[in-house]
Amino acid sequence: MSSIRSPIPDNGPVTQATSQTWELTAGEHVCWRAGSIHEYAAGRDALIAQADQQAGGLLILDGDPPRGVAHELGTSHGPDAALTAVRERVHRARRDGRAPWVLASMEQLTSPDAPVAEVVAIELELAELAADTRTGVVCAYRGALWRPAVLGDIAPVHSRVVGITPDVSGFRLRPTGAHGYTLEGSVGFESLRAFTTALRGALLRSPNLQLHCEQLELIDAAAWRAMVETVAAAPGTSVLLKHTNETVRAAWLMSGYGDAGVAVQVQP
Amino acid sequence: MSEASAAAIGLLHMIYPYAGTQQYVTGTLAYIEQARSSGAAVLIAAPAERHDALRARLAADDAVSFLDTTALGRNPGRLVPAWQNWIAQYDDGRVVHGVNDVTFPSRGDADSSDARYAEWLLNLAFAKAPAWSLLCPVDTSAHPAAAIDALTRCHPLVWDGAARQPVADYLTGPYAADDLPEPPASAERLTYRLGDLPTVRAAVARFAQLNGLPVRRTRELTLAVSEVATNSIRYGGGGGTMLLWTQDNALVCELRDDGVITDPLVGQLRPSPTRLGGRGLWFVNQFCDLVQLRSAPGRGTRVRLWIDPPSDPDRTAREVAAGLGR
Repeated sequence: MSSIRSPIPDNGPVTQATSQTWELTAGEHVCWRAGSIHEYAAGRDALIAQADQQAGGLLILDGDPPRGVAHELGTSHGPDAALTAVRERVHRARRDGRAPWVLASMEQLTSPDAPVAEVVAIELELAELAADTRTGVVCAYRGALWRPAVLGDIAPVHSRVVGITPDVSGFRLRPTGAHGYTLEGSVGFESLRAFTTALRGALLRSPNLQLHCEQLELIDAAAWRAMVETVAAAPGTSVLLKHTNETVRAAWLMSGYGDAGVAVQVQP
Repeated sequence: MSEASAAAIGLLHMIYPYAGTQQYVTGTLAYIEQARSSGAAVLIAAPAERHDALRARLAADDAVSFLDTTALGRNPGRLVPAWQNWIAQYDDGRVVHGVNDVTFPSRGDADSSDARYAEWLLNLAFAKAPAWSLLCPVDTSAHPAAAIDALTRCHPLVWDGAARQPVADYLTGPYAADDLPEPPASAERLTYRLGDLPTVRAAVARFAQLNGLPVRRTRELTLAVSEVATNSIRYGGGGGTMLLWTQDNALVCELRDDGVITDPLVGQLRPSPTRLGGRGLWFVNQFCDLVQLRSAPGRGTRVRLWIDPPSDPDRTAREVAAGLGR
């Protein structure tokens, strides 16, 4: 079950409702690792308050009964239908002059037992929504329900991770509006599975993937191999890394993979 | 028939100990003339100042080419791939006769064993290559006799200025590199496992920045260290220890683990484009100014990486552009 919470009609002062220590900003796609159902509930209240003050309300996908002035969005047709409804709601609200944020409880949109690729596909959909509409999107995971490996694998497709466990992802791969994706940070062996999962997901959505790499530090040998294998395993796809630094370009040239006709290009 | 074309396959690798410029020119020219008379292609890899001394005595034709070795950098670990690249340019059926007048800057005792090792590895690397020959002139007045002897044992043949002879005590292997001196007690130390790789990279980047390394060289060192640490995690028992210190203005990073590396050519050969994997230590050799690898059963593996202070900020870019890193 989903609900949309309308903004508070006046612009009076809003009290920060709970102990939540992070705040959302427009265009962000945040992974929130909540410690318990109580922490989630308190955080949700805080987010509602923040959204009321700073955005055009909060669209909530969490299965809880809607409170106050709310609109239900059915989820019985699965995550695709729910995500489509959310996207339509956001666009409609924007046409009405509001910019609601989105809170998605991932246990409701999918299942902790679902394949990581499925979770990443949903995440990338939500990431695109954030990038396309400049709305804030929070994906909440109740930490006890999810395997740490899954949480680690989905973290890099978010702008940032907040909550109970620290994020150790060395890189970020996420959509940045109509102009492709960004790849940031350092892609090393420790995040190889997350990188491969994110890359596969991005290629499914954007087969001729353009990665903006202004904030990319380095890609290690194992990650280059993973990229080459991922592209080769998906005929018709390609990856173009743009605005790379000299170290990334030098490593790509040294790898020699470009001489094997792989559909990966690396540009300054 | 030329020296190399007499061999069905592999490298005829000969040292040429000489004393003084006159002997260098005379003996090297004799080698070159033998090659030219057999229709071979001659590639002279030498510092630019040597070119004039030889060029003035050679007839102008397209059989002799000069290579500037400046871009080879300071790492002896790039010698094998450099010759891989250089001889690959000749695909017209001509046998290549090379002159390997390459001197890597010495760090004293810290790297003499590694420079010899690079020479010795040429024999291994080209054992099954199409026949070619390589003359390695070495100035006997610039090195102690023991060093010349040790270097000679890394060559199967010696050139006497007119003909080649076998080296009686040629080192067939395995090569026993000198032990590495212990790091200073003040070295920064960090143990690592899989989840610590970002911490390892951050520590190296901070160390590099504190010691004034430019951003690009910092990234290169960080990538190199990350590759070696990854090898520890994958093949060296799941983790290792990193030590960081400075020595003679160079930045030194050593990574230790319990694994054993058995392939002496690891990271030395340019990988085939179609072969997946096997690029970690290759990157390391291309990005560092010296890579000292010591590995033995019961002793584990130590990989010591050196980055020299920045004297040429465009070095790596130029080397890659010249194809040396590919």
